[in-house]
Amino acid sequence: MDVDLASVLHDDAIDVRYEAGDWEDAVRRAGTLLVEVGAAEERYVQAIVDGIHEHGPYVVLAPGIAIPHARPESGGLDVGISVVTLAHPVEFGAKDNDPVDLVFGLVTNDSEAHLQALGALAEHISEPENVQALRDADSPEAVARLMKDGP
Amino acid sequence: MIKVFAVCGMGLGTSVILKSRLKKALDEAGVDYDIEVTDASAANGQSADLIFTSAEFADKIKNKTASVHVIKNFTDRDEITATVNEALAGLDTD
Repeated sequence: MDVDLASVLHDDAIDVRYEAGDWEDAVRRAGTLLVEVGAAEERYVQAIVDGIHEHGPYVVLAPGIAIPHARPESGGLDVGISVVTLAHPVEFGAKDNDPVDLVFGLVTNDSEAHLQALGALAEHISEPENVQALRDADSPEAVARLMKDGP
Repeated sequence: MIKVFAVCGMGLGTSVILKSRLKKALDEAGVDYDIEVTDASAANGQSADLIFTSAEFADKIKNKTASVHVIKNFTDRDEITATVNEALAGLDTD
């Protein structure tokens, strides 16, 4: 089985230049998109927020980039990724990588497909030109195209 | 065989991404290794040589056998390669 980003990114799970009030608002937006496309139960969103309150901003894993996620048993239904770009960067309290303006919501089911999808996402955001193109994208369609084909 | 853990809060999100980056650096270094993803509490209970994690978890890891190394930017190949090579050099002098 070959899993790429196109197979786990739902076209309706993308929001561009979202006006987030704070980090929690941004995280809830990314989580809610996963709920809306049927990849997660509603309680999954709260589980993500609770996890960040408990562990700190560990989901901010590169400058300006957060990948909020929770455990599959917290309401994960499928493997899925959502993309939220922010109109204005928000602070997570991550001293090395704040502020954040790219949020990738993630839901997993602990499968081989999950590992492959995450690997594909890691590869994608390790290319600085891919990240810059996502920041510059002005429509969900543009984000979908960039995630699937690159700039 | 070097035993390596990639650690995050859930043991299956950011740590999986970290693992895929670490594997590349370890392959380039040409060492014989076994790498697992885990959460912080599970990492404390098992024997390992090297643990890589983010700044948030470094203080929570109290593994008796492993040295703990912080990765700030999980997408920066140069930082990951440099941190892996430093960690491996530390093993050699033990």
